[in-house]
Amino acid sequence: MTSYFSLTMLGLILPGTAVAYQVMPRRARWAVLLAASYVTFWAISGKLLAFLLASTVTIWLCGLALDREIKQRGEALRAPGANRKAVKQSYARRMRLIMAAGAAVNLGMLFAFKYVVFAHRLLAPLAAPLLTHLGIGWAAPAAIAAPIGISFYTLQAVSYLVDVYRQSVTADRNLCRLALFMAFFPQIMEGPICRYGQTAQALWAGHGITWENLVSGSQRILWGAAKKLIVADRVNLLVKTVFASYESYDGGIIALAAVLYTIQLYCDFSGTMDFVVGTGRIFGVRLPENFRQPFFSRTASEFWQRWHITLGTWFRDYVFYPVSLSKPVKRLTTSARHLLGNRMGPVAASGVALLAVWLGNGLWHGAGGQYVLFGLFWFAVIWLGGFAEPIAQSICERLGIDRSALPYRAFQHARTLAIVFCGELIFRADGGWAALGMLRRLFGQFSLASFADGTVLKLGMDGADFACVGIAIAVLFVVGLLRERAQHDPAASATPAGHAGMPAAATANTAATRFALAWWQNFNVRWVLGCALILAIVVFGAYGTGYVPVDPMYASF
Amino acid sequence: MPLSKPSPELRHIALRLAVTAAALVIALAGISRIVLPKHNQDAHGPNNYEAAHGIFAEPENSVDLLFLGDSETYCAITPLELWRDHGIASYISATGAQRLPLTLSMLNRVLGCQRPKIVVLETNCLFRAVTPGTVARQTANDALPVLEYHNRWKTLRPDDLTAAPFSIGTDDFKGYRLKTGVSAADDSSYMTPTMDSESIRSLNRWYLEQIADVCRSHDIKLVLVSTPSTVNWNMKRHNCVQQLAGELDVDYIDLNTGKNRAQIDWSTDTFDGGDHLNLQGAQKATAKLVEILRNSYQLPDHSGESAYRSWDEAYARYERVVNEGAAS
Repeated sequence: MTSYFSLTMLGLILPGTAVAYQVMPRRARWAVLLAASYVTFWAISGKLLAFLLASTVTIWLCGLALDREIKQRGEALRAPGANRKAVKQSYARRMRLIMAAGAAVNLGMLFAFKYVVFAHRLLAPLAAPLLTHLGIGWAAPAAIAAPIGISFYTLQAVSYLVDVYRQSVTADRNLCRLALFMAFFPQIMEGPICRYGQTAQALWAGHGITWENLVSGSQRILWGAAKKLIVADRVNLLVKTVFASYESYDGGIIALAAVLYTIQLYCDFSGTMDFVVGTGRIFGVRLPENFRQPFFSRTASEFWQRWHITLGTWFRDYVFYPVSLSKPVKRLTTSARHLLGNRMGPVAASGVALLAVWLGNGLWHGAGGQYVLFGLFWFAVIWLGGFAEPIAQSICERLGIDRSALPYRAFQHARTLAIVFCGELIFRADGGWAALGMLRRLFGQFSLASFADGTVLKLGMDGADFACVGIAIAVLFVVGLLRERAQHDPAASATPAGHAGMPAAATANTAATRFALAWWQNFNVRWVLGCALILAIVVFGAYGTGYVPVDPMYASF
Repeated sequence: MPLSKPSPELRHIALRLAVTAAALVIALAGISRIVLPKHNQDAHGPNNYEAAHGIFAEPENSVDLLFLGDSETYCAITPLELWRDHGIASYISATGAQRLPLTLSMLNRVLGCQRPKIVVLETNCLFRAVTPGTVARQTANDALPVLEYHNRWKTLRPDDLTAAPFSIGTDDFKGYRLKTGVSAADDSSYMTPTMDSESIRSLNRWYLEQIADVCRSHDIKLVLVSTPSTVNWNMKRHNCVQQLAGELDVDYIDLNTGKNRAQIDWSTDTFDGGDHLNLQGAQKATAKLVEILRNSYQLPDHSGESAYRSWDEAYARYERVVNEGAAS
């Protein structure tokens, strides 16, 4: 099994688990979910399941140790005549040590599987001659297959440890509950990266499957399958051709490939997330959303608040804030304020935390030059954007440009999209040098000749494919627009429509939107649309002869 | 304990699901009818098995000898040579990497329009693993062909709404795929004697038994044939098929070994290093096979019959292409 949209998952594991879950007594339902999770993990990664178990056991033990320290500290502080400052310092040191040890074990496993070869390649020019001179062998380590989802569950493990350390959650004494939090089967391949406080109790609760949840969850899964099979796997035909030999194409084709790759990545990843959230919904578990109409963003920062949200918030909470609030960076911020003023100073100082976040973000995706470049690209865009914003504001004021008017908003959307396409081009390129080479061709040899002479239709997608993708994107745009227009409606999440990924009509701000959303909330309408979606997937899905099944793209990160 | 009566809500849900499922199946069956290829040529849209499906455009009950199997079959047997030499009407409904569920499906579909006297099953496909996934896919494809031919939405034409599936245009070479290149094979370990035997999966065996049963019930002689290949064939496989043939009471001809061995020159008669035969190899294998078949079975000679005039025309086209291939 390589995809959530495979026959094995949709025809066997998911329905089998749902039936077994429902017939079990409530108190034993967690066992069904845990068994299904480990079976799925085993089906993909075999014996590497041992590393997931090792992660689970280490954070469980460290959590218990932290819990013991917290209790002992409380007792020590309550003791008569206690030196509170000394006690706090002493326990803080020990707790940091426990937390760091647990995190190090987990991050160490991640490093061993994903980064040893990359680190070796980086260090080789320096270390190889030195070690050879000292008579020590310097053999290149062989790349090894990593357990599926190690990048995702490792971040969950670290977040659990830090949350227990920060006392924002209580350490779980129940190993099985923690194991289910780490391994819940829809999340194994691509996340979302959940916090213990978000899902652990709900997974354990064993709520029965309700008709409403079953229908809305299934509709969400169908929607995801349509995105993956109709759009993502179809555009892959052109994307893989162009990225494999970009030297053969002009800038116009490279621009098209960058746009299509961004669409592919979005439809693949968000389609898989639809499966994950939909499956969670069937079992009565609300998993965090990873996407919120990212292409409606007006700035690069906003884009990252809407794209792979759980990764962004993880880096915000566990890297950005700790680095920003560290003593050296605080001192740097103070100095920067003196030097550059209250507006630019903090922006300049935030570069340290931003750099840590974006290097981490880039490297989290993989060990390769293109990922480092990808991280640096977004760091530069967002950091420099912080400097540019006051300047743009001042220019607009002087020229009398209304920043809330449609033309300026359209400019912001277009600018953000251009940045996103460049970023994703770097991300998909076959290495850092290839990324630079593609950018050079994109800007240095831009031409529309390949569109005029029909070359574009010989790269894996014919006219019918482009038409199919175009219509699908138009549908996605309309659905995104409807969601966007009713985005901040708290009632939305409480309705079945909200569960299926659509907002409620209550706060829609135009008559057309209100009509569309009210229509969508009609159960029968959604039922018929679901059937139409099944037919559309069967007929227009990119599967079978002529197509190569594309593994979920984020599963390899 | 007696079963409690289902609640009205549960009955309503069950009814809704049943109606939906029925509506979906009907819709998919209707779409299947539209997207099923009508033309057996590539130019008319993606037909996965264009040459193999050409048999459905042959006149009813006109084919006496049917070949099934994978690519070994359509590279090793050339039906129009059988026609030229003996007036035998044969057709190859083999497809690349054919697995036994497809073989059985193909046989059943062919029997809807033809009554062959002999079915030859090339044995390489016996060793292509049949898994529950293969079976599920084939069953689904047979029930709802849109799953296999859905991509034809790109090339639909008006006659897709009216013509019968696979009814337009047979294959000039009657399923044979002509290859003229030469790439010598290493035959140093080819058919090294051994008493060991390879085994086939239980699902493969089950499908072979089904194929044998279908042939028996239609009074068709099933013959297992191993065509020459240094890459795919060996004594372990020979021993396995020999035993299977005995157990199923079907005939077995191995063109790789013994008295039935075709005189293949592995330095000139293969186009891909011994995996498949080229034209020269196919002519030798075909001649050897027909010699054995004619000695053992009755196959009618249709030479000169007006109903088979199209076969003479097909042979003329085949001969022209073969001569051009030989000249180049």
